[in-house]
Amino acid sequence: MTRTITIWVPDWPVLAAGLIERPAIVLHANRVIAASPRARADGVTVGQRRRDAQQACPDAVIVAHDPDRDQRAFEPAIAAVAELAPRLEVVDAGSINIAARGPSRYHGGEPAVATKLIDALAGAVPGARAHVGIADGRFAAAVAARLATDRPLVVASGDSPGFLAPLPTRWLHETGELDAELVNLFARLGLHRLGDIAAVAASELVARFGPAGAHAHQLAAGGDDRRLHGTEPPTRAVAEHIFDTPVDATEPVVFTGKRLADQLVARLTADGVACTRLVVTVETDHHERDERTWYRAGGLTAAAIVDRLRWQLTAWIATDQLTAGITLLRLTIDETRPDTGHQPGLWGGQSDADRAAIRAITRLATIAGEHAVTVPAWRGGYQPEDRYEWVAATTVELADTADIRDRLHPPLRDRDGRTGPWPGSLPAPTPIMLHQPPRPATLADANGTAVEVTGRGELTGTPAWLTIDNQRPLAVTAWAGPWPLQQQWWNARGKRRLARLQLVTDTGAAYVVIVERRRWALTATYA
Amino acid sequence: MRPMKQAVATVMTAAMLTRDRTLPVIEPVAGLLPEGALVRGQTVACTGVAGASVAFALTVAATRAGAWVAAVDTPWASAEALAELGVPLERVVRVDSGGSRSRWADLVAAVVDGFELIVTSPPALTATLERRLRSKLAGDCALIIVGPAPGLTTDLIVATTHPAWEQAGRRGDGHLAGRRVELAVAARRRPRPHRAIVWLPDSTGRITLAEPTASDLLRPDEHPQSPHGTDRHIGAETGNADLSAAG
Repeated sequence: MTRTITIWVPDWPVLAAGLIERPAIVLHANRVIAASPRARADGVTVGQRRRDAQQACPDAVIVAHDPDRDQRAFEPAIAAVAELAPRLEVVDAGSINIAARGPSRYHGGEPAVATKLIDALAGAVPGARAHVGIADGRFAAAVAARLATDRPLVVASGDSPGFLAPLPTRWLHETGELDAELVNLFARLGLHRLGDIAAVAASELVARFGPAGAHAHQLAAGGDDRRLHGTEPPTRAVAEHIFDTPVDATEPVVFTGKRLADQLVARLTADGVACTRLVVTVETDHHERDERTWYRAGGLTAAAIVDRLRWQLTAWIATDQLTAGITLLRLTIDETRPDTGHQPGLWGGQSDADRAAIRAITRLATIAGEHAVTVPAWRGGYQPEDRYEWVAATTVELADTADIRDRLHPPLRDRDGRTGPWPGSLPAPTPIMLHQPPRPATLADANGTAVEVTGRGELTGTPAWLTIDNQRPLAVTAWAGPWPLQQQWWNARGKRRLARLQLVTDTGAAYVVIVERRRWALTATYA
Repeated sequence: MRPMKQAVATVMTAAMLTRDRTLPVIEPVAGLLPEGALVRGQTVACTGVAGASVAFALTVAATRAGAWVAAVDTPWASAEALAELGVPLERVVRVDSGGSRSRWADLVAAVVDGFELIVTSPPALTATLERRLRSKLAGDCALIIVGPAPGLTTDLIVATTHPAWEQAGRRGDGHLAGRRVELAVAARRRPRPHRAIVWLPDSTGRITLAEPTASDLLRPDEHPQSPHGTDRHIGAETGNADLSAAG
C-alpha cells in the first residue's frame, strides 16, 4: 500500500472566486457546494438548498459553480506542490495526492514535508489554508486531511483500520468514493461507522451491493484502494494520437482528446470498469512535455477526461514556455475501479438522465418559449381538469426531491385511488383526454327532446343521442350520473352549478359531459 | 487469454438504464412486443379507441426506472390519468410546439437529445421532415405516436379495438369502472400480430391483463401468454401483472 499525503483546501470554489473573506456561497443545481467561513458561522452547510442557505445568511454573495474557474485558480497551487513533490495526482480543484515516501525522505520526514506543503500553498494562493493528511492509502489520507486542522494529521503506518473504525460511514461519500444513496442504505442497515462495515464479511456486502459493497469494505477496513479484491492488476489502457503537423491551438487537441476518451471509456465499460486514475501527456515538436496525473475516486467519464485535458492544456499554454506546436497527445488509464453503472455525484442525486433532460428543457424553452415547456403541479379540484396544472419547467427545481414533493403533493393515494378530500369528484379511472375549453354538445332522448338535469339532480329523460360540435349524433348505450356540483356558492361571480354525466356510445367510446345553465359540453374523453 | 477480466465483467451489473439498448415496458404489453421491451430508436403508433392510454402506458416502466418522457403536442393529456397509469409525474414534461410543422421537427430533435421517450400527436409529415426525424431518432430515444401516424414508417403498431365498459348500468347506476380492450401489436419485422385482452383502464386507472372471455376472438395458438411464457418484471414494483380480473 502506498503511503499517501493528501492536501486539501476546504471550500476551494469560494477561494477561487476570490470571496473567502466575505460571507459567500457557491451553488450547483440549487444546492450549496461550498461556503466561506463567515457564511458557515451563520449556519450555512454544504448540501443545503439555496433558499435555506439564504435564510441563514442573507448577506452572502452567491456565485454559481464554475469548474473552469476553480481549476484555473488552482494551477499555481499545483505548480507549488510540484516543486516539492513532482509525482502528484490532482484530485479535484482544491485537492492533491502525493506519494509520501520520496518527498518525505528528501525533506526530512513526513511532518516536515507537510509543513512545507502548507507554506507553499499559502504562498502560491493568498488565503489558502491547506489541510494535510498522511496515511496508508488514499481513502485514509483523504479523511485525515479533512479532519486535520492547521497542523497535519498523520496516521502512523498500519494504524489505518484503527483510525477509520470509529468514524462515521458518511466519509465514504464525502471523499467521493461512494454514492450518497448507498451510504444512506448502510446507515439504515445499522452500519453507522466504518468499523461496522469492516466487521461485516466482505462476501455479504458483495452479495447485497455488488462491487460497490466490496469497495466499501476494502476502504472501511483500511485496505488497499488500488486493487479489486487483491486480485489481478487493473486494466491499463493507452490511447494516443500523433499529429501529422504540429497544432498550435487548443481546440483541435481537445477535439482529438474527446475522440480518444470516448474510445477508451467504451473499452473500459465493456470490461465493466471505470477509470479512476488518468495520465494526460502532451508533447510538442521540440519535445517539450507536460504530463499530469488526474484522480477521481468515483471514476472519470469521457466528458470528465476531456475537461481535464482542456484544463491541463490551457494551463500549460498559459505558462508561455512552449516553443513549438503540439505533436502528441496521450491518455493513459492508470487505475480503474469496478463500474457500478453510475458516477457517484458529490452534489445532488441527479442521474445522467436527469441532467440530460434538464439540459434539453433549457434548450426547448429557448426554441419554443418558456411557457411552451411545462411540468405538472398538483393543484386539487373537483374536476379532473382542475386537479393538476402545468407550470413552466424553467421555474421549478426539477431534480430537487423536496421541491418535487411540494409540487406534486399529494404523492399518496388512498385505496380507491382517490387523493382527498374532494367529495363529489369523479371516481377513478380518470379520462386521459381533457377538452379545454369544453366542446359544445347536446344531449337528447329517443324523441330528440333535450335532456336536462333538475335542481334535485335528476335527469328529465333517458339520454339516447349525444351530439358533439354539431357532428353526426352518437347513440348512447349507457350512462352514469348525474353528479351535481356546486362550486363557490358563496361567491357571486365565481359560483358554478353544474352536473356531470358519464356516457358510453354504441362504438364503445366514453365521455364525460357537463351541463351548466342548461348547456351541455364535452369535458373529457376516455381515449 | 483474459479469463479474470471476463469474470469481472459478468459480475458487474449492466442494469443501468442508460447502458441498455431497450427500454422496459410493463406487462401485459411487454409480452406482446417482439423483444419484450421497446428498443431505443423505435417508432410506435398507437391506434384505436384507447390509443392515447396505451401510448402513455408504454412509458410507465421506463419512467419508473428513471427515464424521462416528453409529451409533445399532447395538450389534452391529463396528468391525473398519467399518474393513475403509473407514470411518475416528476419525469413528465409537456412541450407545445405552437402548430408549425418545421418547428415540430426542430423541437423533437431537441427532445431526442434529452429524453428517452417521446409521446406525440404529430401533424402530417412531409418526406423531408420524416427523413430528418428518422436520422435524429436512431439511437437513444423511442417515439410513441398517438394515432395512425400517416407518412411515418413505424416499427410497431399497437391497435386497440373492441372496447367494453364495465359497471355502467342502463339506469345510471354506479359509474364507469373499467374498460376492456383488445390489444394487437403488429411489428414491421414480425408477420403475425400478437394479441391480448386488457383492462385499459382498470378500476384504478392502470393497465392490467384481463381474462379472455368466451366471446373473445382469440385462436388457441394466439393465447397472449403462450409466446412469451410467464410475466417478466423489468423495473420497480409494477404490480400490474396479477392475472385476476381488475375492478
